[in-house]
Amino acid sequence: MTARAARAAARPATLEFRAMNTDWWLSASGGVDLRQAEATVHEAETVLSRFRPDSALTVLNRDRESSHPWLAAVVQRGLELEGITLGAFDVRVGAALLAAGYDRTFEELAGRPPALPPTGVAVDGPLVTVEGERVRLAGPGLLDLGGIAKGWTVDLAAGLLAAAGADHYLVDGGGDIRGCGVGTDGTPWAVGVGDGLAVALDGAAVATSSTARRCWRNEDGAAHHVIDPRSGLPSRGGVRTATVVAADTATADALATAIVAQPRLGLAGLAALGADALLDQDDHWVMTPGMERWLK
Amino acid sequence: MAGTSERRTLVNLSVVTGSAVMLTASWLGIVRADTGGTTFEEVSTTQRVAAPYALTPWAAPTPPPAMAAAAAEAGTSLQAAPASAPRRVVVVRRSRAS
Repeated sequence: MTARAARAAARPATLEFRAMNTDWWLSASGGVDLRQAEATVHEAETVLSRFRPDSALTVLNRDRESSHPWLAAVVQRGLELEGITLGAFDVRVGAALLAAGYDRTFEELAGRPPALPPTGVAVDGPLVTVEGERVRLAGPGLLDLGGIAKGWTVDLAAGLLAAAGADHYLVDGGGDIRGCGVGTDGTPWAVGVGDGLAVALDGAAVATSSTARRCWRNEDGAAHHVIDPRSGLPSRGGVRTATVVAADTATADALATAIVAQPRLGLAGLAALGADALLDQDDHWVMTPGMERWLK
Repeated sequence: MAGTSERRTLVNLSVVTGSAVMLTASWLGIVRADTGGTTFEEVSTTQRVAAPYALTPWAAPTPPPAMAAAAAEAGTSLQAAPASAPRRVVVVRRSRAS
């Protein structure tokens, strides 16, 4: 390889595309083929989306049984995080989301009335069983992986880039971000969070959940996509936005959702996993003491 | 009629009190979910714990009793975030809700 080719290979390539109803941005060093990672993200969407009629998740909710290794992995991780957050994060909120009016993609939902009236029933979701690649549901209720699937897919794409030889990379799936190594300036990737702050991501991930996004109006007034599993209604816990830094993006994604849904329990889960958070709580920006080490 | 109403009230109060005590006890690890029970919360917890999904090496689907204390403390361990102005960092991307 010539010196010029070596320099070109070391220079990170970038790729932007749209998937999972959001914008994705990949950057990796080492001449890695980013298109393979993009294809994997699109494939993950066909498996994990609640809005695709042929996805493995849709099949599971309809037929109460579905087999796919990625679906099983995400559901299993969701169950684990449900236990760690004492139920503040719950993948069984699918029926409550439908009842709140989130019955189609947010792009389709904008400006339209919900198809179903809000009911506010408590989430008493199905018994979920994961055995190998097979996931089964018993009893009424639906699964929704919106609080973890995107983060999990970011981790999947990041793993592909690392396995392909990228020492430095950043995967941004609509704000769920995982970084490793350094950016073009030789310093750890700087990712903006909160009100004008930035975190340095080298071997870490960040995700944000907010009631200010994916919100709409239904018969009860304002609604949003973060369901409090205890009430079955959009959360009103006082945390408007939660940004979590964790070792992996799936965990950060789920913890951010949990903190908005049930702040006290979500923060307990955060502490148990050694993660940190920055919150917009009652219109004040606060953070866990350990967050300082991530700030750039 | 009045006696029936009072009995109903007493029964309702005992159910509510019992549920609260069982929920608190399960949080503190005094009562395990697999001992069975009659309240909604216990049934829900039993289902979660009983799910025979394969565990990854680090997984702990049943939270340790200390988490009840952590949950109580979590809300008070927050501190004010620093002002943004002194930190002039050029960011490559931004974490946002999507």
